[in-house]
Parts: sequence; C-alpha cells; structure tokens
Amino acid sequence: MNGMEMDMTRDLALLAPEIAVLLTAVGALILEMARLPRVALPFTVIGLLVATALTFPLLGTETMVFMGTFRIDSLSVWAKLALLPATALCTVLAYPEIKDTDREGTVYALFSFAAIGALALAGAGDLMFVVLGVLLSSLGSFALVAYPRDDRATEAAMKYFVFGSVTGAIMVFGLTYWFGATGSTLLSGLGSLEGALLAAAFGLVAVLVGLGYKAAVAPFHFWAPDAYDGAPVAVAAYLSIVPKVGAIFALVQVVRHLPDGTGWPLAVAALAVLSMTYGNLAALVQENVVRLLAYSSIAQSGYFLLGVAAFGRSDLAVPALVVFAAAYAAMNLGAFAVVALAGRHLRDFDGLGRSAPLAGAAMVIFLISLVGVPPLAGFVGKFLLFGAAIGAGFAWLAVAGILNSVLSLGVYLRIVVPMYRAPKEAPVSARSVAAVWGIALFATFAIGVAAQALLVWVL
Amino acid sequence: MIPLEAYLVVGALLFAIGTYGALVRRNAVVVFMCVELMLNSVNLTLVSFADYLPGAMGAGAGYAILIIAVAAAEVAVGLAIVLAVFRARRTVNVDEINLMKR
Repeated sequence: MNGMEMDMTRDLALLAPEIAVLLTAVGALILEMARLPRVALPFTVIGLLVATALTFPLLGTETMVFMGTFRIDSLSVWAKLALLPATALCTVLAYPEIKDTDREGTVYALFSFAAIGALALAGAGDLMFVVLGVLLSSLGSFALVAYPRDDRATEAAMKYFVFGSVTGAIMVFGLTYWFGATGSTLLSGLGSLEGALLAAAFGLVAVLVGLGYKAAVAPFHFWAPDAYDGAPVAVAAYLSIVPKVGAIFALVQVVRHLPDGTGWPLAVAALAVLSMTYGNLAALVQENVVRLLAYSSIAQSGYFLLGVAAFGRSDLAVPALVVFAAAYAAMNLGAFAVVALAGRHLRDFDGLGRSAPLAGAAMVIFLISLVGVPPLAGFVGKFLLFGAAIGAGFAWLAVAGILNSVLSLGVYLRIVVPMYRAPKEAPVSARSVAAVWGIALFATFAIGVAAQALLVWVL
Repeated sequence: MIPLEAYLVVGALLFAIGTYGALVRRNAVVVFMCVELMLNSVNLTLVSFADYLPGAMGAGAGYAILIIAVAAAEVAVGLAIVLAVFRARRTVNVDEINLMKR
C-alpha cells in the first residue's frame, strides 16, 4: 500500500508540467467568471511559462508513469518545451483581436486545454491516451475556430467539426481492433500484433487517418485551409503548431512498438511525399496568405513524417523531430504574427518591406527559414530530418524532400517579392504582435545556431 | 453461446451505416447522429472484445466508458456550433454552408 502511494507521488511529480497547465486553464476560466478579464492574459502566460520551467528538471528522464500508460521521454519533454511557450505566444497574439470581448478568459482557457491534449498525445503510452489527446485538442480547437461567431468562423468550425469527428470515430474504431488483437490497451503491447497482421494493418490505417487529420497531413487535410481562414489569425497559428506537433509525436509513440511486418515505414513515407508535394503545389496558387500558410503547413507535416518514417532505423530521427518541431513552432508562429500585423490577403503585403522594414525583414527570415536556408532554425531541422531519412535507407525520401524545398522557395517568394514593391502606408502595429514576432525571430536564430553548435560538438 | 464474430459483424455494420450517413446526409444534425452511431459501434465492439478476451474486462470497460465520454463531449461542442450556424444563416444544410471557396 505504502509502495503504491510512493509510486503515485512519483508519477504525479513527473506530471507537474501538465498539472500546471491544467491549473492555468482552470484559473483562466475562474478569472473569466470573476469578471477579471484583464488579469486573465498575464495569468495564462505566467502559468504556461511556469509549466515550461517545471519541465526543465525532466530533461534526460526516460521513464513511464501510471503503469506504462504515459511516457516521459525526450519526445514528450521537448514537446512541452516547444509547445508551451508557443501556446503562451499564441495567447499574446490573440490579445489584440479579442480584448474587450466578453469571453476573453475562455479563449485563453481553451488554448491551455487544447495544449494539454497535444501534450497527452506527445507522451501517449496507451491507446486511451491517443483517443483522449485527439479529443481534447480537437474540442478546444473547434471552439476556438468558432469563437468570432460570424458566418465564416462558424462555417469553418462546422467543416472542421464534421471532418474531425468522423476521422476521430474512424480512428477509435480501428484502435478497438488493436485492443481485440492484443488484449491490452497499452501501446507497449502492440509488439504481439506480429501474429495478427490483418488487425495490425487495420489499426494502422485508422491511426494514420486520425493522427493524420490532427497533424493536417494530406490527404486528411481538407479541414485545414478553411479552419485557418475562418478563425482569428492567432488561432490559425495555434492550430498549425500545437496539435500538429502533438499528433506527429503521438505517431512516433505508436509506431515505436509496431512490428515491421505491418509495413508502417513505407506507409508513413508515402504519406510524407504526398503531403509535401500536394501542400507545396496547392500553396503555389493561393491568393490568401492564411490559406497559403495552411497549405505550407501541410507540406511541413510531410517533412515531419520523414522523421517518423526513419524512426528506429536512424539514431538521428528523434533529435531531428525535436529540433524541427521547435524550429517549426518558432518560424511558423512568427510568420502568422506578421500576417496578424499586415493582413490576410497577398496584396496586403505590397510594399510591407518598405513601410514596415523591421516586420518585413522578419517575415523574409521566417519564410526562408521555412524553406530551410542556413543558418536558420528551419535549416538545421530539415538537415537532420533528411539525414535521418538517408540513414534509415530512405534516400529517395530525402531527395523528394529536397526537391520540395526548392518548390517551396517558389511558394514563399510569392509573399516576399511584392513586399519590396512600391511602399504604401504602414499597417498599425499592436505592441503585443510585435513582441510575438520579435521573440519568434530570436528563437528562429537561437534554435538554428544552438542546434548547429550542438551538432558540431557531438560529431 | 453467440460467437465473438457475430458481435464484430454487427459492430462493423453499424459503423458502416454511420460512416455512410455521415458522408451522404446533408442535415448537420443527422450527420451528428451518424457520428454517434459510429462511436456506439466502437463501444459494442469494445465490450464484446472485453467479454471474450481473458482478463481484459477492466481495460475494455474503461475504454468503453472513455468513448461514451468522448461522444458526449463531442455532441456538446458540435450542437453549440450547429446552433451558432443556425442563428447566423437559418439553415443547417451542409450544402448551403459554402461561403469559403476551395
């Protein structure tokens, strides 16, 4: 009995960051009820940063908590270190759009709740955690998209909801067969699927549908451009980062136990190529910058999948995923912050580089980092991902990734080129938006330089 | 004794009907009902596995209760969205909800 209590205390201590996020979300709701919306934003940001600080002592821990249902490892720890600050920055980015509305605290609470869902996904050690994570992050996101309650937002939320609930149901149905074949809901029991490859393949398809939807991987991406476009820019930024990274990491937690006989590496590799290519090609014809970034984030999901496909065959896979997740969070958040400043349409960017030189330069840096130009964060992340793919014997996948990076240069230049045409009047900038892109810019450089320094030191 | 396969077939049929309805029906509320049908077919499959597998009753029942909670939470948010859509446009026909171009 005593030993059990000790286990419980130890497990709860290891989950301190998640508990801190939960308390933050509840606290933001209470502040909302107490009619103190002004306090809600600082409270949420501080709560999320405290949760981030509580994560640092966990670095290097490799263990399971609560009878193997949740994993504390480099993936789940780094997910917290990347996603919690990103969530905090999204709340700051949302502030100018939602201040003085009657539900400000609710939005911050929803951001935090959906972040817990993504964290549950990133460390999932049990089928139920996968289901719970997808549900938690989806429900929060549906409500966030519908938040403005106008025609476009409710339409976007409706499409997102129908798509999300159907793919979610398909996922749980497939997972049920894994439970039936292994007799356990633990992911670590999936190794015994060796003898039941039909059930294993069935479940794999379902997981790829469910997590592919969450990560906006083509061909399960249909909701993404509409949802991002209908939602406030801060919510679009959030959706493109937090649930995506959570779902990709959850996919790794699932496939690490799957027998190779299911052919998962090839299935993931095929999705990676499809997602990269489709995302970049569709982004080439967009006129709306939010939709363009939505398709670009579909392409970026494809790069993430390179790391997933290489998992278990290349030691670089986990570091690559972690670095790319942090890099992606920084540069994508920065790009959305500049969109929040400039406007949603491509023509809003005409002359931005001259009328608002700092924000313009920052946008250029975020976009070339998304392409993967050294020494920026996106370069290191992609370099490691391609290295992992080659190390795992997927050289063709790395070639597809490099070709897609070239293609994506064309996508992002469509935003950059008009920025240095004739200037027009400068957009009015909120200080909080400038703070967000400033921090994202710093992170884009810092992650790039730090990861390269670390690599030189290790190699 | 009814074999396990019989339950699985009924579960799969329910799931197929639900999926078909969710993809084909135009009324948003009916689409939700179809999603509920899909989730309930999951529950049927789960509890039948739990009953037939040795020592899996606890995990299976727990999982089924989680899915019931999932279905309840989803319908709460979904109906809220449908209400918001209906207030804005006086229709819940998913074909008429198409402001955004592809």
